[in-house]
Amino acid sequence: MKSTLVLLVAFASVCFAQQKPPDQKPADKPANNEAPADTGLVPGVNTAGITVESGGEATRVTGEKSFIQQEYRDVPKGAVVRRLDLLWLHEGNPLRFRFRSLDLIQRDMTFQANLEDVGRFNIQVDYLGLSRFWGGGGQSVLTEVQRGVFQTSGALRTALETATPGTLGPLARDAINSAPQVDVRSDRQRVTLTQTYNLTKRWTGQLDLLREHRGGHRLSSYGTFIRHPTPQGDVFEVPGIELPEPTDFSITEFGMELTYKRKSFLAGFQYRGSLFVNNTGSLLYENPFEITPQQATGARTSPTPATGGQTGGGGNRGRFDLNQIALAPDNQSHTLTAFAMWLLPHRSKVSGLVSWTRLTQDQAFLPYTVNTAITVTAPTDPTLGVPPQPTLPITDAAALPKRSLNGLVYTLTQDYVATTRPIPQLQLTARYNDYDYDNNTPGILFPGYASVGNSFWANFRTGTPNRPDVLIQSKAQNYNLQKALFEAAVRPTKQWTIKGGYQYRRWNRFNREANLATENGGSASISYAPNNSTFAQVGINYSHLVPSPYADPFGLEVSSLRMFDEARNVHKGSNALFSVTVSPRVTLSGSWLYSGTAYERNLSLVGLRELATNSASADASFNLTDNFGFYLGYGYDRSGYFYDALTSQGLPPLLLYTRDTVDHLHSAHVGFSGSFSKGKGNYEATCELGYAETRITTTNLVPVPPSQALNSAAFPFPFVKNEFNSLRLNASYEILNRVRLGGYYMFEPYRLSDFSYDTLTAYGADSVASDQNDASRYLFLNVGPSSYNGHVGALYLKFSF
Amino acid sequence: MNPARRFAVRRKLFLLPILVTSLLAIFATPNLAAQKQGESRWTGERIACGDCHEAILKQFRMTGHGKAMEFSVGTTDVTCGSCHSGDLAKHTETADPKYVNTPSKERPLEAETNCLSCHSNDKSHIYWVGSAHEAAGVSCLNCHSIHGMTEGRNDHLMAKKTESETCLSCHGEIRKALFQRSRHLFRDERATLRMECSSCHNPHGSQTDKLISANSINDKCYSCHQEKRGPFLWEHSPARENCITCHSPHGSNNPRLLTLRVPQLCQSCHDQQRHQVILGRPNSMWNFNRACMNCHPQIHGSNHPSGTTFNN
Repeated sequence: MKSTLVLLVAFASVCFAQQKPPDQKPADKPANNEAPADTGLVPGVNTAGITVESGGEATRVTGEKSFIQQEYRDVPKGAVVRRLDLLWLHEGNPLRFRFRSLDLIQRDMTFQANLEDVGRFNIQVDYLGLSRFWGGGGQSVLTEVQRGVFQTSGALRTALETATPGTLGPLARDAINSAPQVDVRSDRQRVTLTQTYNLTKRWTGQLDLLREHRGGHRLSSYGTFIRHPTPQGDVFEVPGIELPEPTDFSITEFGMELTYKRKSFLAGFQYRGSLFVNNTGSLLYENPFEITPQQATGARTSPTPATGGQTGGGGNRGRFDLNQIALAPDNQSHTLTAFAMWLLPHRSKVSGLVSWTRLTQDQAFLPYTVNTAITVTAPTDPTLGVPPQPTLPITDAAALPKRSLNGLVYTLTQDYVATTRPIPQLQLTARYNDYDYDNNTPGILFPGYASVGNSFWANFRTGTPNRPDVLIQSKAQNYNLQKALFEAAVRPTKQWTIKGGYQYRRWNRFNREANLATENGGSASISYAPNNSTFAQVGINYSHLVPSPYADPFGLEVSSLRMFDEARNVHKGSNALFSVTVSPRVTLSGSWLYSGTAYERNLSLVGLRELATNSASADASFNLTDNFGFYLGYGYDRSGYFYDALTSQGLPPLLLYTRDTVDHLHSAHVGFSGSFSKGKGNYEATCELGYAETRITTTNLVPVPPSQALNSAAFPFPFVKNEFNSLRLNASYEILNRVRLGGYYMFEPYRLSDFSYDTLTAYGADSVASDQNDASRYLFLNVGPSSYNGHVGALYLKFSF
Repeated sequence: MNPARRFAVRRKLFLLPILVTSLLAIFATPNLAAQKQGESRWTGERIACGDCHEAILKQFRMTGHGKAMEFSVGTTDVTCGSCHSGDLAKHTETADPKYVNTPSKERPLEAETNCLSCHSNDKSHIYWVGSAHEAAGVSCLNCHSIHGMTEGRNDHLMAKKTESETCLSCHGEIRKALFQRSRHLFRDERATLRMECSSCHNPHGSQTDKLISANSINDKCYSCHQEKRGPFLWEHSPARENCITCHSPHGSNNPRLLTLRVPQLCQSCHDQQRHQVILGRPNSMWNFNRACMNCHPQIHGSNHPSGTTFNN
């Protein structure tokens, strides 16, 4: 807030520091400020004056948790200044001052103040408030006792730790149901000051300042907590513990720019700096199921057995009493940019941009763990080459080989464009773009880490079957992407345009699986635009990506698997779209898009084989009169992910889990808006209905007996439905000259059906033995979107003068 | 010097140029904005068109173009005839519209010539010639209406009431994002968009794919999501290269703008035949709530020494 005041004072000072405009005799004013009825002039908007709309607003939500309007909006309650628009300008005076605002004095208000002397300077202050309501009414056994520290009752922890398997589930549910309710909300306030000065006829300078604060909490999930006894020992599994991660970010940005331009030439230089500070560096929370710190039993053995996989460790997680999460680290970036452009004859142009960024991050590391029970073990495989194990307790940050990352990244962007129209019917464009992400962060070799959620010390990460284990080592990953594009557009007639292009892309990567990949591709399209109200286009594109031999530097993947973004692939796409204004009152548009990528698996046996998406949409809008219209639209999106699998013997039995997946999304929206005036009254109504339904279908890759739960047809996925409707009514009556009294009402029923939030059905028997599947699912802190009915009502006065 | 203190010192040094430049701006502006403004030229022949077109001209005078015309801003002497070519004398004499050209009815190439005579060397327009919109035959007047602003919130002389309505008139397939479960294009209870298309795109052209107004797609995302900028100790390389590997920025029927639900999204890469591919039943723990990210929440990268699998 203080920063905001400082900026406002600075802005005011700048205003007063400006030279006064030359003395002008103002032109004769009209007899009154009332705009002629047919000019469309609105005081405060496009003619001098003020428009204010203020009143009172009330909100009521009946439903489970949150109100989707609240999801991105702090719906005002009580007194509101919905709108305040002020415009000062005079005929014969080059100065113009504008102030526009929405929802003043609300948490997510926006306003903009602009002072301009056309051709001389422009000074603008923007304030943007954004609110995000993650959900309310959820209950959590964890309470934030100080910023980023969550604790729970010692008595509850003792009861959960000692509960027998049969009583564990009910005990946890009762604890949650009696826990206090929690609302989770975050907000963002951003102030920017932009000053542009025409220093001379050719030189322009610009200064920017941005200050932003983000506060509140947002949801994040951390953890596994259910305790089940198994033959291998107690198992803790509770996916779904949600914690309100504190956000307390401060962002400061500063920019300056200098531009020189002549009639056919422009060149400039820009600097921009950005500083991000997270005032809450970590999140610390207690494990409701443990009051005594322990570590998981059965440390992993090395080397990994050739058959049967790793034993110990992995199935016994979540034994910590306290866990600590590292939140986003502070960082800063500095960017220097130079750009230039020449306009040449025959509507030709060459332009270039070079931008260099230096990005740093050097936040102090948290220690390996806060679990005091973890015992550091020496590596069991002497050939693994791990560094010496810590001699200090691993709960002490001094035991780390480095105290911070010393992160340093340089990016360099180069973009050069040349385009020409040697004859009016032909346009040629060549473009070269190079984006280089050069990560100079030094790698760090760790002797181990607190594995599987602070459960035990591990010297390595387990390799996949038949692969060696992997050191705990960070490696800087770099990439450089070069693109060259050549495009020609031919207009044989005024209505038709034929375009063709060739594109070459090249990735150079470092410390990724395929360090070099090149792609050649082409595209073609035909468009038809007989007039300004009709446009149609069809196009196709094709590309072939060839990577270098695949080598996994981290040793974690199946050797024959390729991460799909680096795999050899052939991409084919096609598209069609049209938009036509059939008459002044009817507009139709539609589109279709196909994108298919086939990953060549000559050398690989498993993994993604094809990714195909099909999208189609159609929209229509009808304006029956100037004041009444309706629209409707429909869209269908189909996304298919298809995998490879051998059917020969010797496959790991887990391949039974892999499935082809196809998502079908149907979405439709229809709405109308209308208004009419009668006498001194204005009346508006808007109604929107939006519906989206996702159907997920899966198919087993290898035969799975129908009696098994893993058979894809045994338990089909329910539809995911999202129904978003709203009805808005607005009526106002002119009670005095330029003063209107109005009322506004919005009704918004929202319906969401998503099986991933189903807390009532017991877990399926995929990862635990069926006789231990005794607990219905429960979320620790169950907040988020849900079905509801929302009502907003407001009374307001609107006056303009 | 420990890292925390080093960063605190750097932060103060960072703020120093901001303070210096702000003071400079406050006290030096009388000299910086040295060019004097000319006399008002809203007289005589320049506004003869207002004899018949009074309302349009009155509104036009309030706009930036009107001020530029009145006070001779820029290198071009702007009059009504600068855009409305033709035989203006004959038009004045006969009141017949056929003697005057209306740019909105001209072909794009002709229509935008007048605009580019002043705006071709604006920094925000340096990529216009040869850009996707220009090459597709979209002219300035498809999106802008020059004479005045309608009642609404737009300040870029948009043809329709709002910027988003202008864009959606061609890009109708994006409209559904307004109704999807998670979206960037979110509206308040008065249906006012709180983020506009120009928050991420420069429709006049840019150095990046999809007209993103930044050096890369990720750089644009980092302009609001600075906490994802990193670098992190443990990086998730597909996320570092391109945010839209996993996210659909306009809107999605999946939570958090994901292109595909988890765990299917993760499985499209992580198919190593370990627990990652246990898709199983809808009510399995691998589908519940955040699926993979129940345990791997720091999916954009982790700065914790034990966060090699993004748990911390």
